[in-house]
Amino acid sequence: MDVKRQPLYKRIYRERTSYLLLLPNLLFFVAFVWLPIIFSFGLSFFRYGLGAMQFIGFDNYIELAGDPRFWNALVNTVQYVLIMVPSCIILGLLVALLLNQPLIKGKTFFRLVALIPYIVPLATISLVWMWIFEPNWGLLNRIIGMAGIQPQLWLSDTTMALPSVTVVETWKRVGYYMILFLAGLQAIPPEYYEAALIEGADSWKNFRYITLPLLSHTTFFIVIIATTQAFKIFTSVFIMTKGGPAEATHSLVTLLYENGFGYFRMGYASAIAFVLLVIVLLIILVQVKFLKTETEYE
Amino acid sequence: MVRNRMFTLLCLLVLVAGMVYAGGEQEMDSASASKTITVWHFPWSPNFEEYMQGVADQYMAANPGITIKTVMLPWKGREAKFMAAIASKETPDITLVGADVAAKLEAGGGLVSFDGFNVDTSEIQPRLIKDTMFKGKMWGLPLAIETTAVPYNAKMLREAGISTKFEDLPKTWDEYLALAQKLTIDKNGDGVPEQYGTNWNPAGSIWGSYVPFLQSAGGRVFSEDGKRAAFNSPEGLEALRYFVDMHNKYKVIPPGMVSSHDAMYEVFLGGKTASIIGCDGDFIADLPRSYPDMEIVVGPTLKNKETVSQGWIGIGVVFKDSKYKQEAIDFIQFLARDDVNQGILEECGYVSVKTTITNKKAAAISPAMATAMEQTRLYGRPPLPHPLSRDLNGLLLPELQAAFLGSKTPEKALEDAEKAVQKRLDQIN
Repeated sequence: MDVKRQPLYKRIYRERTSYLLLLPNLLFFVAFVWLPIIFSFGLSFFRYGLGAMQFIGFDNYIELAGDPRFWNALVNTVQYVLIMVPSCIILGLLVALLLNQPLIKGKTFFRLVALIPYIVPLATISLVWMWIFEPNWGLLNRIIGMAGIQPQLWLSDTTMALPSVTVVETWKRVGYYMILFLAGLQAIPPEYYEAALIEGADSWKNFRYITLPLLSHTTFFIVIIATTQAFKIFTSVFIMTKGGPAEATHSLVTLLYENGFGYFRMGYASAIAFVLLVIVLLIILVQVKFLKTETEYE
Repeated sequence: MVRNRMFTLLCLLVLVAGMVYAGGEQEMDSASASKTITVWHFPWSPNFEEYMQGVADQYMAANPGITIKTVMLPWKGREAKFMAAIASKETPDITLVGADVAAKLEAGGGLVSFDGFNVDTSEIQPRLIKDTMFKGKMWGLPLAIETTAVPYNAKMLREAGISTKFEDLPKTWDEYLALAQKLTIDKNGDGVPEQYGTNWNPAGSIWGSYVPFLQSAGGRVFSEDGKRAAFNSPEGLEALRYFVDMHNKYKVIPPGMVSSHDAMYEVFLGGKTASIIGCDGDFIADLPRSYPDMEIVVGPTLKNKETVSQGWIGIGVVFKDSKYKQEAIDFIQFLARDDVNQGILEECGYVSVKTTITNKKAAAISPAMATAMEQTRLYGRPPLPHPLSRDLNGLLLPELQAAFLGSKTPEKALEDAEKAVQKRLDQIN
């Protein structure tokens, strides 16, 4: 008998051991992911925080649309994404290509070194970089001072703070993407390169017509991960600038945190969270539509 | 066979879970024999955790049947912890906070008023009781005032030929600006000063940086009834312009110090600034130990129309869900008892809220500390106990920073801040 034609309960009973084994994970997922999401969505229609909970319909979303701080945070967040995602991908790929070269000695050591920033907590990294960016005796200003350049206000200048934070976030994540790219590179069969060598292809052509297309799955995965991570930028901003100076580095998540856990406007913060969720979902859908390719060489 | 094993495993799991649950119940039963009062406190001093435990031990020895459980929390994220605790009804019985935080906790439905309970306030300065009351009620007992002051680097003053005597140091805003200009020195003539006269930054709390100057100019943060934002006024503008001009026009403040409040201290210690506006007392208290070579003097609190400095008042409050409210209030009163309170003040370097005791130990740290404490005692004002007082940092600081960095005029910055604050006030009123 075709299993698919059996009633659902019979199919579940038949696979009861599998379902039983899945149950703890499923319960955990529902309890700690789905229920909070649903609860948070419901909360976005309430005024909840200081005082009693009050249903206010779409008021939080209407307020959001007219809130200049929200639009400023959205613009900042998009800037983070636009700088961080390409930087992370390009640098991750470059480092992976470099550390995949057979001629380089001590590759394992260098791979480990490149991965260290990813392992170290972002809070710690942010504190270290605050010292590097410190305007009066920070390392960076000392270095540029040797070249005769005036000290810069890396985190205190409204035009420089966001790029400075982005540098830290990129530096933190490049190692992780490097490892993913490295795995992708090592999965490419060497026969392709050998065949290309016989055909007289140079390094660029190898990269353009073999490496890049065969890394498309990895690249696609990294684009999705990097985009969602960039949209969620929080820790470095929270520690290094607290959204300043003059809100120049405020992201949607720091704004959400500020409203939720600073002002206890849980309904409003939930509305921000849902707008962020929708934006990220839409962008990922677009990425899935336009970036997903099925490159296979026979 | 496999099915039998899984069944046995499941039974074992249920059995273990049941035993754990039963064990927990038993522990609660035995604990409930005495009344347990939980106190959440914060690192008022580096050794405050041990100190508070000692105080709790002393209280428990004198009060059999009461168990005091002290829990130290970090400063960061404390409000979120409080609100989560209130929402989940898992609050401690007592916490020690500023009146501004207390007002926020009360607005969240978390606190119980001390009115109607047996509380002795006879020895506490009446103005401090008044400053920490809101909605016409008393919500906590003042325990200590954190010191703030205007310290100067004595060596830099001498090098500039300026007297280090208290009476010769600036008393007014104008005198202070003139001194800061004198102390701003471009030693190598490259157009960039190596030494700046002062430091102020809109990065920490507006209650320690901007508000004392707003009040000194005669202005106020909220209207009398607390329903209107009142800082966008000629007085508010005068206060903001004072700092904006010091930074942008007179250039007596190191540029762009807006990313961190602590950076002010680092720059001062590094010998790049000669003074600090709104300096915390614990920094002054720690100097003789950590930087014995650095000699500082503390000057008078600056005056415009009024003489005002920041004086953070720590109060003991009781949560609404506390099972033992009177017992909790009794413990707070124990913290205010002369001998106990004296110990807390000496441990933390704070100023007394009482007329009966003085913190001689902290005053003995250095003449600078003694002067700072006296100035705070005379002129320190706590943040307003208003539900939005804490939120003002997030709403006002970005605008103050924009004015400070020159991306907005002071007028526009205050106007935008007023709109943001008024919107929030309208929502909570």
